Amino acid sequence: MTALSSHDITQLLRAWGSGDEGAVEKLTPLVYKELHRLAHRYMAREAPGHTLQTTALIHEVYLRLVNVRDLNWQDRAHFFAVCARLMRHILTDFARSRRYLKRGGDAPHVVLDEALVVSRQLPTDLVALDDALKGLAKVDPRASQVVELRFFGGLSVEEAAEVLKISPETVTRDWRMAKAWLLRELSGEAQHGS
Amino acid sequence: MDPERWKQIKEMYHAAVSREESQRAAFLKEACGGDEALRLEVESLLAHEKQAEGYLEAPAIEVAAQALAKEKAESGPPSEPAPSMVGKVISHYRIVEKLGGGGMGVVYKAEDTRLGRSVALKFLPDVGAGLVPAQGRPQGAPLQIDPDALERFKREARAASALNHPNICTIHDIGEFEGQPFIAMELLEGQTLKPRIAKGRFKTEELLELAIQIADALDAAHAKGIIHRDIKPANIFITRRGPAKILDFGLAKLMPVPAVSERRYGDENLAATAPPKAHREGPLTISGSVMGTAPYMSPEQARGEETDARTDLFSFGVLLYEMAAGQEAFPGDTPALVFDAILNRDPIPPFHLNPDIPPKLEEIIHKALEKDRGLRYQHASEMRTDLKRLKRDTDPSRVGAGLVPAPSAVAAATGVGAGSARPREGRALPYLLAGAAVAALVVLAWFLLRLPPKASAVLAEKRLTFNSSENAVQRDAISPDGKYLAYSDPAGIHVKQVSTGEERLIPRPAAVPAGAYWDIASWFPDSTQLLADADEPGGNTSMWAVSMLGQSPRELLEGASGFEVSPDGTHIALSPRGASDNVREIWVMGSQGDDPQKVLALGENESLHSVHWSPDGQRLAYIREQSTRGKYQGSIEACDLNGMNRTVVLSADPDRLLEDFCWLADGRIVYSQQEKSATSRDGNLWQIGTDTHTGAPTGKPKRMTQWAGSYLQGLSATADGKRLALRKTTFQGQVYLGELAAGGARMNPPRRLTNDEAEDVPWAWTADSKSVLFTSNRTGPMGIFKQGTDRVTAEPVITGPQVDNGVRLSADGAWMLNLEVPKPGSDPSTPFRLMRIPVSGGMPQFVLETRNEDEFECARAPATLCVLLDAREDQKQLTITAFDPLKGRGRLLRTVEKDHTAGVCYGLSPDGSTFAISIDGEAEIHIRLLALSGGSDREITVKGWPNITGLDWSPDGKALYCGSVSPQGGTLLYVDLKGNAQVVWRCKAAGGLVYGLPSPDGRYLAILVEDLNSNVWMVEGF
Repeated sequence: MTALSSHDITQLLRAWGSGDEGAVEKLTPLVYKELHRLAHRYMAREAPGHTLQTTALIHEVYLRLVNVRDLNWQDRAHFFAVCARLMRHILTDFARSRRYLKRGGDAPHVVLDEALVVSRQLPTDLVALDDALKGLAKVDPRASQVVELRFFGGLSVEEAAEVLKISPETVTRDWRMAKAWLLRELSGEAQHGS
Repeated sequence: MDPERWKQIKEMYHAAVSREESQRAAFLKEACGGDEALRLEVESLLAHEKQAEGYLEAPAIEVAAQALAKEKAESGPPSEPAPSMVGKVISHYRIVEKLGGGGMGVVYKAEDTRLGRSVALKFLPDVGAGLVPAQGRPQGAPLQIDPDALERFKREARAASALNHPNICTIHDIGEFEGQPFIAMELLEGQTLKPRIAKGRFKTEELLELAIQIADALDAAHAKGIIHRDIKPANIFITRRGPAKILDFGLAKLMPVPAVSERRYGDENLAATAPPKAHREGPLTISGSVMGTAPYMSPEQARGEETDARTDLFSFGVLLYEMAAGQEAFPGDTPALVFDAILNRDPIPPFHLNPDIPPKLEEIIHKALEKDRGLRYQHASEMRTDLKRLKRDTDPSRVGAGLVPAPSAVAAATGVGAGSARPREGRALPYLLAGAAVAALVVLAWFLLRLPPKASAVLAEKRLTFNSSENAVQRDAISPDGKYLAYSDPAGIHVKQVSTGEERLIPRPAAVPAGAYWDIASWFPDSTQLLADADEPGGNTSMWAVSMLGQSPRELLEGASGFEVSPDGTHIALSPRGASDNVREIWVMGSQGDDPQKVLALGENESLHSVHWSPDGQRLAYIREQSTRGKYQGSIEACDLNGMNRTVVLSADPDRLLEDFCWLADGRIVYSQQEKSATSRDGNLWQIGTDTHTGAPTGKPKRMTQWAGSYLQGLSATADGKRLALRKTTFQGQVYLGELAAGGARMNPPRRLTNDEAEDVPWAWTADSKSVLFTSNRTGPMGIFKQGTDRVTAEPVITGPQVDNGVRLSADGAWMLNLEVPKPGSDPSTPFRLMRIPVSGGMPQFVLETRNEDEFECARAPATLCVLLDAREDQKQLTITAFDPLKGRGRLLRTVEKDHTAGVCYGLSPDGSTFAISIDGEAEIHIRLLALSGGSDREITVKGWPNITGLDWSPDGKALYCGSVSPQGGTLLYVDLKGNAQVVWRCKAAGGLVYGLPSPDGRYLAILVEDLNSNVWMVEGF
């Protein structure tokens, strides 16, 4: 009954973008709702070849959250950046609240069921990744932003380039190296200081 | 890390990556020039390079969603009878193993110890939950089974068990275990059609084989009067040994039906694993009408109407479509979209998705999918015959080359002799080639013939806006060049490019306050300028010219609202009042707001709306409504620019309501009218030719559409008359229930009491404050239903068109009172009859006759007064007359001069001493309190709140509950008798709330919330 309107969401995103942490509380249920929706779709998926087209998917999620065309923001890029950061915040929190995505502690490190994973991906521990990304930000803030936009924000190379005002080639290079760096970090072989 | 150092590492890394893997080590050794730390750092990163390739390629939300899916899949249903059931003996069945569970219940394999055979035991999820409020039940509390519901379930299951057919899963037995009913049925091995259908379309032979079996089974069941009501892939079982079996015959009616969205996204996998609780929350069994599964529902099910055997045939058609075409017939991401598709859209011709499909099969599917069940297959046997005939004709052993499945029919259709078209086998090569060429021609002709099927009758529709009910489209107009759609909603006026969907918001001028409606009225002919209306609460209206080219909006005229710009752009037709007011005049002014002149003024009992220019700009046409005795007769009329030479283009049928029209360049008038039926609000498009110079009709009206369920308004056409934009608007009333606090001035957040897709309107509370009486079309015709505050389903009290206008309760609470309206088209002198119906149901009994459609209301015991209010528009006075539900008409209590327009909202105080009536057309709510038993009248103003939508007395008579609506939504107010208002509830739906009825004990409010949906569609090809 009291669903937030697209306008409300835009306001909340704006508030959050300018440091109002309280806005997250209102936005989180929306993202969770989308999560559950997606989860349902994965569960409903029957034919193995039938995978969801992920870029389209994430845009759909955004569109459900905010009608991008309605934004008065001159800066679409800014919106994407805020969304990506929000997604990182909310999804990491979500993972933190779930034992199977949590690293260390008493809980066993359970990874995702291979059968459920769409493509040739490695299992992803969102909480550990978030931590590693913080490490990367200290070394290479731009590369860390690229990861935030691409992975958490679901943006394409071109969109990330638009947000960061750099060339798509640079995004690709940053992306590639950042992933190698993160994998090394997460595999426990890190050797960098700061 | 030192940025310089990092830069170095980065450069070295990229340089190395660009080299062949085998060269990298050597390259690094050389390039690092002895900086061993640098080399090691890059090496260690390179070691992860390969692995990194596919890493993080799926967005994080997907990763999280998959994890969640996994979690849900693992956790399973927590409250099912659990594995411990295995080994238990229930009645004379020993449970062997669990076979599965789903939305329709948990299934076990069991041994029938008496007959020594294996059976399947299905435990139904909470039969009877349909009569137990899910919300009211404390969590974890044992489920109470309503004995009536259980009995009904058993009866139905017993009827279904009488079905003995090789293609129907046999029901052996019905039993009960710890209050939970179960069914013992034939144990089947195999799988349902669902996973098979997901793999893709069927070969024709395979499809026909299965379809004939299903048709046969449906025929057998229908012959016994048993309807399935939920035919879908998950209910068709393909046994390992061959025959298909239909599952769960006749059970749909009594099953708790999950919310359609759950069903849709839930799919089978989810249904099998999600906690059953999720399935209890949906709309449950609705007496009379039955929800199937959204994508397979028939239009009548989607509308909540009574189902019959033809319902199954429609669902069967949907199934056949999916088997043939390989995709859903009525796809949609949300149940609303699916419903819309089922009700309003033709599926993509299956032939476009599967070129191999025989035309005859397409025909069969098409006939099964007729939205009007009168046009559909009437019996399963007909369908079976057609399927069997097709099977014979397509049998490869019978047809020669098999290229064209039914060559004779095709050839006949193309005018080519059947003999020459049929490919011949075993002839000499030249013949073969010639045959092939002819066959190719035939196929081509067949393509061409099929592509525009019934071209003249099929309109192409495209949805242009996707607004939710919270920001329903208010007005719309397509640009004369057809490139843009302008539409307004609470956010303002948007201009959307039709081809790309790109859109922008036209900012409202600073002079137009946020609380005002800011609407598109019309385009100027060059498609770069709009005519816009601003309408502030309280009736301050103004007209504006808005340029698409960036200039700021210009006010043209104050105190008026716009109809339409003339085709040459030099003049504007307008109304000197707000668009929502009762309009009786048409004015015309210059396009700069200059020289406004009155063109036409109608008489006292008439009003007009929908004013449009003729294509040559010489005439104006409008819908005129004449009110006699509270009834309206509408017509499309036209006049010249001096208001002379009036002609009647069309008089509406008495049972149809003219909504809007547009005048096309070729002289045709396309108009929308609503069919008044008890069950729905079906707007459809019609057309009639006119002589544009005289405005006289040149032919008979022709119907263009067979749509159902929505109003059609806001018609506008492009200059070439090829495209038409219109708004499809639906209203759906729902009853909400809120608990009052603070002596009635506050309310806890309300919940929805009625839970269906029907139109539900609350009218009264029973005297014991335990149930709400509401009208609903949930079972087809309009009926009165009674629902307890602690119940999730309602019981019907009385059904029939006589209750269209709702009911009021007598003071003692023993009678429902309603006014029977004479049938459409009956003699104008036929009186209205006020009837009383026992609250528990029963025959209506006569109370009194009245010549008018009077309003009426009763006080509450110990008071006994009931009053009739005659507030006809064509009357100078307003009269209030007493009556008694048993004795009939009493004396005249008051006659009040109508110095203001008496409004639609009124209410008799519980003690019968005061009659409150709203006064329309003011910026703020004004209410007159008329003293009926001495004392003086009073008038109160509710400061700051416009547009009253409802007025109901609090049970203690100390306050009024008033609804107020603005573009931002509706607000329910608690207004004391001095006019001080407190907000009880705000509702964000666009239709807003309409009113709140307090229960006699003052504990609850039953609230009418109108959910309004309005979106713009474009129509072509008319």
